[in-house]
Amino acid sequence: MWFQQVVGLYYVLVDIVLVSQYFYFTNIDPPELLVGHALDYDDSIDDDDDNDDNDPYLVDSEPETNGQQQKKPKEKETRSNSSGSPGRGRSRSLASTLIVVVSMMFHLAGASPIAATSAAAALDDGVTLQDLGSVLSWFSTLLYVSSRLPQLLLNLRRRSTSGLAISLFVAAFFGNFFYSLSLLLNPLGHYDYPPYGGGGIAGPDGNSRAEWWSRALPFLLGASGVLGLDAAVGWQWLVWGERAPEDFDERLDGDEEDECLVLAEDTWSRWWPWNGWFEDSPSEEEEEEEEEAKPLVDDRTSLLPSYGSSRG
Amino acid sequence: MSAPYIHAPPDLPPHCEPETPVLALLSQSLGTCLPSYLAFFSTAAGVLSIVSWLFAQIPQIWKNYRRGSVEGLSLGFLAIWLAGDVCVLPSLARSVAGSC
Repeated sequence: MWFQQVVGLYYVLVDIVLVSQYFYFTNIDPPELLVGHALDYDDSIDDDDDNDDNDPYLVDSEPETNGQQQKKPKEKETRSNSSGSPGRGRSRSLASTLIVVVSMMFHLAGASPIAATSAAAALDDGVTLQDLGSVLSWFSTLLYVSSRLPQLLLNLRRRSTSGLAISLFVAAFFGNFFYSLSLLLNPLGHYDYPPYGGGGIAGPDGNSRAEWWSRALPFLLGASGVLGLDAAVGWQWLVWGERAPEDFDERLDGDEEDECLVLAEDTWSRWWPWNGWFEDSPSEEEEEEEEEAKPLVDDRTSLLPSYGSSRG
Repeated sequence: MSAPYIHAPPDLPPHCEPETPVLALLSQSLGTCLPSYLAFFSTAAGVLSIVSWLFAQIPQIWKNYRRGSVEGLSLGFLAIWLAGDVCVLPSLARSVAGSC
């Protein structure tokens, strides 16, 4: 079928666009750091000097900050996110899902130029994961999983996820989630069938549930693993959030994820989700009382009442 | 006057024996065999999966364009992802020739 190839090429094309953007904006037309305040902002992210308070472009939600406690809570969050579980498997290398799903979308579009394919064959192709046992697919599995690690590490180093469209990871999360669900619900994983059994869902060779799972299970685990890694990015985003100056423009577009819109409202939600998620600043008294090296947990508890969190 | 073209419902896929009339209708209209509700939901989840993937990167591309910057993105992330997608292509093409 040509349609899944088109989709596959589309994926590659989109990836190439992203990589091209990276090189273009890095080497050919790098942003002028002194012009855009948003980029000034970014500089302050990367240099790790913790001198953000001197940054005139930092729109701080806590105007009374002493420059001391500002960054402290981040210390504890340098932990584990980056090293997330090395879940094996692959996320999108859904060759099988592509075949099944694209064939369905293909028919949904009503544009099939070819005779209706044998649905049994189509399902068989996708569901029994015939191709996915190949070395190539395993290699792509490895690539997909490992691709998350550099991004997680970069976020960790920057203490920020600014610049990321979190929707990418949300979409990836749901892509893997639904793929896993699709595998779990697949009748071929539930029953043994004679040839063309199961009402036609089995292929001419029938279906062996055990054999099907022996091939599908690694991919289920893999998709779940990437699911976890994408969730880790999402958690980083919740913890460190976006930096407001970078989002002012995009907020006007209305194209961003609504979650982005929410976070764009607050300036620097680098703490816990409920810090800066519902309100920008904790009460001033609490803020000023905080010690520089105060643990984040204390920090959090002291702030909770002002947010009416159920946690309190 | 020739006889008007008659819209006959498409046949069920070969060997397809849906359990219920609804499933038969779905199988006919979708052109894929969905003999049971389990099969239907499995396929539906697959569709949702691919829909998720189709639009995953567009907001990021737009955001980069708007910002004129890729600050915050990891090249390793993008490049390895691209490599993964390229590696999947041969299996999609159902040909043995792999380019990885």
